Amino acid sequence: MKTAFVYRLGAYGDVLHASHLPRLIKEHYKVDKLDFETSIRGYQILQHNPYIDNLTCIDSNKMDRNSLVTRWCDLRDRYDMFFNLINTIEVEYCCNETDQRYYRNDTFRRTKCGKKNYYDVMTDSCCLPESYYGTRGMMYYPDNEHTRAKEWVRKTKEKYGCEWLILVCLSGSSMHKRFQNCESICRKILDKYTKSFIVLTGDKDCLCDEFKDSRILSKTAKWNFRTVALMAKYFDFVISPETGLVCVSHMWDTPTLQLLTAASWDNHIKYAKNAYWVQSDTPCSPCHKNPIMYYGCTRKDGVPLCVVSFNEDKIMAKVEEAYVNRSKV
Amino acid sequence: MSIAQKFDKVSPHSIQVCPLCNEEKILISNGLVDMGKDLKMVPDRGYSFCNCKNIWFTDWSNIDTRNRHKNESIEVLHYYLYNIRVRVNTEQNNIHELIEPPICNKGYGKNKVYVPGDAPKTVAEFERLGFVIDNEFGNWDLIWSYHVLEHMKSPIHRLVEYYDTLNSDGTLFIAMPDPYFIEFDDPYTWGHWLLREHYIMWDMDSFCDEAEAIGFKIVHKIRNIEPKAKPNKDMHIILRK
Repeated sequence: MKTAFVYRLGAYGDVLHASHLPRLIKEHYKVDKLDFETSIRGYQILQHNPYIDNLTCIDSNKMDRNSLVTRWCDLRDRYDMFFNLINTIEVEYCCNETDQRYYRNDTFRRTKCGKKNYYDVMTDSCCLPESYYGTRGMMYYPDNEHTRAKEWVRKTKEKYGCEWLILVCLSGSSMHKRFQNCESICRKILDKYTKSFIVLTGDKDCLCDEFKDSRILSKTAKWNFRTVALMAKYFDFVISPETGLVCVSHMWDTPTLQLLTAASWDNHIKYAKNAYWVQSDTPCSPCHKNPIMYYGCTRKDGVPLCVVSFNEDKIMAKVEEAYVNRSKV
Repeated sequence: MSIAQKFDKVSPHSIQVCPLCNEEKILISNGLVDMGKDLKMVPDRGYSFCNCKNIWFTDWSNIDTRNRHKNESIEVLHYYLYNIRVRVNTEQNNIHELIEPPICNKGYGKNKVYVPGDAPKTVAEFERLGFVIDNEFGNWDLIWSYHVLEHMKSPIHRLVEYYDTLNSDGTLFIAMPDPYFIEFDDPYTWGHWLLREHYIMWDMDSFCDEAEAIGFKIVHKIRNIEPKAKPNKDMHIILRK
């Protein structure tokens, strides 16, 4: 029996971009048994994946580097194939502040980091052939969960008399993944599209960004990510900055508007369908950086400039395009 | 506390204003001061980074303009005179052509050289090689700017001056600290965090963009790892007017 082990930590989007690999690895390398170890966030992405025989999660914050390396050595011995996918996208295609590429000009990073889709990056990391390029990730849920999600959407539409149900993400985990003019855009949408209804989502750090309206319902810090990810399949439209949620909604082919700051169209959207996007108007976007302290970034109103540099008219134009096209979906 | 509130909690002492775009930037690396035998780290002053032109900079008030920082290298001069050739496209027929060393005595007359900064050995060597040293009147054939621009208050202004005072087809050689060599595991191994001396330090490609915008043509640019060219964790750029 041929065995393989895949190791991938990271945030939701990072693990989602690896979620297609178990099937491809089994198919290409003729693997019989595939085990996968991931982060707590990744566990939410990979649950019920039929191509993973044993899914485990660890809290890497509680492990030092030596422990991790020792574990990897042990796994290499115990499995026929070992895929250590740690820091594949995050280091190679999103430059950290400890990487000299972070401090070089944008043209350099756009050439080196901006031309490849993250799914293809992960496909390459497992030495899979280019014929697999374009394969996207997948999340798996039991049928009853799908039924419940569909029913929730139906009841919500019925209760509020809406025909166009929109999921809006307030922010991702990083400052440059923040929907700064969310309230303004949402109110414009509600004014223009009288049959629309908005559901807000985000984690607990987004609670202070909530706003209220009779046609807005907040699930901020109420739905966990796995729930939001499933709900994104049944909403009519999703609006989000560069977060894991938008990667999931692209995965479902849900009409999605993505607000790009650090990443490019090639990185995130290339293979998506029903995709709409707006790149930040600031000259440094896309920067292909993964900042923590935002060294070098210009700030405005306390947030990175890229976050406040979205043209609202451009966003609304994309919303209108999605609204017109919704009957064709 | 919101993410924005956490983000905004930065000590005012660790903010510096970028000299090029006037935006506030966080201090990242402490500066070093030369104490004679060794370098001492300054705890509350140092260098910030700005993505407007990808520069590392400190506050001008940290710079001691009386500091006559001597940094010259005959090895580098000889390297470019004797060891390196450059290729250029000729505009007429678009063919790559091997030309003479980018820095040499050309033509029938003596070539005028300007050597900014304090570089007596370099001046002496140029004179020995038959160049004419002229530090006053312009119309130069060659400007040898070895580790000078990082000390200037207005490096772009100085670059424009270089362009204006070069003869047509004149050559400008620039060596500057290259932040590419910063090792972020141990950033102080890059010895250019000299708080009293170095004001602005550039990303090589971003500096070349500025030079091309002025009108220079980049003939040669390297991150200096060449043993014969005195590797100093710096960059070498040769520009033509």
